[in-house]
Amino acid sequence: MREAAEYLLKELKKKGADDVIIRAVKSEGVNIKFANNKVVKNGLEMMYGLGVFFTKDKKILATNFQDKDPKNLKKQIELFVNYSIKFSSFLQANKDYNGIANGKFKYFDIKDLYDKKVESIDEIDYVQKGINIALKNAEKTNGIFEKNIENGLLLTSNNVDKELKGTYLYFSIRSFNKDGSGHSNTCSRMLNQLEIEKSSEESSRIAKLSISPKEGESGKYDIVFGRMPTIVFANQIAESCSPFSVEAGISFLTDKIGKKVTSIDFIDDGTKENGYNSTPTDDEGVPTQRTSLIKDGILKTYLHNSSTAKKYKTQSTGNAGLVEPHASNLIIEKGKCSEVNDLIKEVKNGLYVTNVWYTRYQNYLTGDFSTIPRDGCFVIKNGELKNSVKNIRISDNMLNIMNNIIAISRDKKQLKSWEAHDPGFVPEILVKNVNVSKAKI
Amino acid sequence: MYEDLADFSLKYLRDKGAKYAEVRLEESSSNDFVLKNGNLEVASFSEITGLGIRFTVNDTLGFLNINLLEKEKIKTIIEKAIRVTKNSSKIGEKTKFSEEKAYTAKYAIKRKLNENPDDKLKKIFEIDKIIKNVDNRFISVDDTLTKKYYINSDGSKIISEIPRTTLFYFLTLLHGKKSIQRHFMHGSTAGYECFKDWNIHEALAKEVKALTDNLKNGITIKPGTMDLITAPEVTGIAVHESCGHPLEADRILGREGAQAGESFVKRDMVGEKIGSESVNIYDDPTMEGSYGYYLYDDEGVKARKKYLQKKGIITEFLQNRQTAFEFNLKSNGSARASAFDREPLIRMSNTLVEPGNFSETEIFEDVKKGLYLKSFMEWNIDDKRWQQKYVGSEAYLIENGKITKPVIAPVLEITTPALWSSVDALSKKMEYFAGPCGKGEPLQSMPVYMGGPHMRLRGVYIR
Repeated sequence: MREAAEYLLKELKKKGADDVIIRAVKSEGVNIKFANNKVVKNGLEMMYGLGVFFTKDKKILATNFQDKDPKNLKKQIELFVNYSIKFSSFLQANKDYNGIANGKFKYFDIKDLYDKKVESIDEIDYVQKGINIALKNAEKTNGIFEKNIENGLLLTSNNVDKELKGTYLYFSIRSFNKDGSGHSNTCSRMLNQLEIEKSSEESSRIAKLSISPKEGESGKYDIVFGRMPTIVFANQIAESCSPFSVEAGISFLTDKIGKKVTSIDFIDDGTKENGYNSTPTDDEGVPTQRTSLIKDGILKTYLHNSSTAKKYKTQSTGNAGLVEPHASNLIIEKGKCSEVNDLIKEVKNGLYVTNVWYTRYQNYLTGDFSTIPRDGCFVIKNGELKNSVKNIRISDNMLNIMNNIIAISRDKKQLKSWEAHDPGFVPEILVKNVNVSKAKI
Repeated sequence: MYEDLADFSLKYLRDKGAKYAEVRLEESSSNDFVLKNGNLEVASFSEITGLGIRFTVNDTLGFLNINLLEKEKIKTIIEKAIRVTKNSSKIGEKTKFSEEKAYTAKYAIKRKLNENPDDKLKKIFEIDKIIKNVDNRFISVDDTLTKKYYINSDGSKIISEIPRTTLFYFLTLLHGKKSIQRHFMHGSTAGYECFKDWNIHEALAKEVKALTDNLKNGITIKPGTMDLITAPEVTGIAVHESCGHPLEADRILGREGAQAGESFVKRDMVGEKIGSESVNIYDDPTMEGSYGYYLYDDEGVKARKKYLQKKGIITEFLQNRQTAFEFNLKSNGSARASAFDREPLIRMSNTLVEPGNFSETEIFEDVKKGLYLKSFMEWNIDDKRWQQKYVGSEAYLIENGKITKPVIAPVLEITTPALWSSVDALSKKMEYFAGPCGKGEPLQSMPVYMGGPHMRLRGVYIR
């Protein structure tokens, strides 16, 4: 891996490239899919690739190199570099490009990013354990268990040379009981912090509670959102914190720097212990950090790499991807903290929404969107959970949702989901006055 | 290509005890360009080759993917995959495949135009010129060529070469404090020659004009029950979401229940009426040039046109070999994987509403007061595919059979049976729209066409 990465870097520089980033990753993974309480797929993968980013006269090319013939590595690299340089000569300069970071950097160790135990686990045992726990309350379970072991190397033309190593675990379980269902996810870098038991118990408990849902009604509700919807909202906010989104007109946080947008703190933290996306360095070698994107409800900054930071006359937040900034681990904090049952007790006429899916926008700039509650969704009357409901839709505005958060729960849980690629440590949240719609026929 | 490695993998799997095995060797090369507000943000090319391998041991299904093209590495992962799969058979589903004919076939779609990056970029910048006055915009263009070598232990050997080209744009227009947005995607199984077929310059100019008119002059509609005419783009998204997805047999059997969801359609519902007499719906992967084109699926089954609904009655589900076995049927060739590193799942290809006998004038002239939904922006549907929402991007009021005023963001929120039972007229002319369809975990994005004619729905609630 090092030999290929170093030779690639050297050859690209020799042929006139200005800034070069090589990110090599070798990964081995297992994913076990289960449905109807049975394993339906045993997936294994073994992948190796080198992500390549380079610029020449501000022309940016992103590509990948695959070693298809290890006996002729150098020859392959030379051909690849010649083609890459020729390809880049056809491009036009990116006027917004302001360079990558200059090393060397000092990196701090982040705890709990690699767990040797993960290498030798019997994945089926964990799947079986999850299914068995859920079946105490459910009739049927579906989901996935994933593990991945990665070894990586980051090299740049600007004095960055950092080896990276990590283990990644993810478990998602959806339980069904008659016409009720519940869903819960967990992810972790360390085996002992993967909450399979809790997730299985939670998904099946919601499934049992949500049997025989009634037709929901449209109207305005105070809504307690569980952690599954909250991580979806956190991802929407993070997307809107990307300078690419702002400049492309697809951020509802455009022109909101310095303005109050919510009552909570919203943090991106690449240094979080056991954080699924934690890493000592971003993709250009800048040490990762804990960044308050929103502090005391005020939007403080967007996510930046060195190039966008120069354009916005600020500092990199250590969020470089090979092409554009991206989030690491999202954290929601502060607000009025309570237990989730206390959040429910505060609601006179509302809903408890445990999951959402299919979040889509009519207008990304204004934040007009809708999303569909799925799995257990419960009516709250005078602080108590009543019956479950179905066939409703949250049709509102993302800035309204942010502005109307009035309390969050004390306990955070790490998760990611199908709709939320960026993992986070999120609580349950109480949002007042949310618009709910439904089909009339 | 590395056919020898694919052949070796199949033999090695059988030697190690796999009852059934299939190997997909895929070599994919692509170019991508992203322009934001007229600035070339990034260009990329990618070339990747890998093996996707599926097998059964102890009647349990195993899958592996690898891009290390060395025999020893392949042997190592095969041995490990067999170990893991055998171990899981204690709680593994008994996987059986329908018996299917083995095929030896070779087919290729040749690109008529495969230019160098310079010429490609010139075309993209020409498109950007048309929308240079739009306040915010980005354009993304991607062309991919996938060469595939598929073999299975039943004796099939299918070699294919499929190019696909897509163009996606996102526009934001501002007027005072108001804004309107629109995204759209073109896609074809072809090279850059499809730019001409897409007629982008004229279509984009019309689009910007209509959006500007809507932004400046659009009215909000008074909520109520009225007639609705959906243009082919809206017909297409509706047929994809509420007819195609619920008839995927793996959803019906609960295999995709964790993420993509299940279906309101139950396994015994073939023969049940869920739409009006006017509604005929089919899925056809064999349409040449279509974005969802293929002739053999990723289980080696020959693709064919299949009717999902005739006269509003469910006629057939989309099947792969696994579900076909469960239903005691033959597969109808609906299994596809997005790349070598994903397992084949049941996927739509080109899912379309069949045209009717009405001219577009006839469809409109009978509407006293109604809405014309020409294009959409926001949409979603629940995971059983029962209730859905489509919000207009370009939409107009219809009064006495004529289009009168632009309407801002009208909402159709309706259940699937109500939508398809309300259809009383379909126009003669078809149009097709490309899109990426998402399913599976890990997620697989699959190229599909959606479309149909203009459709008239009687008495639906619009707000």
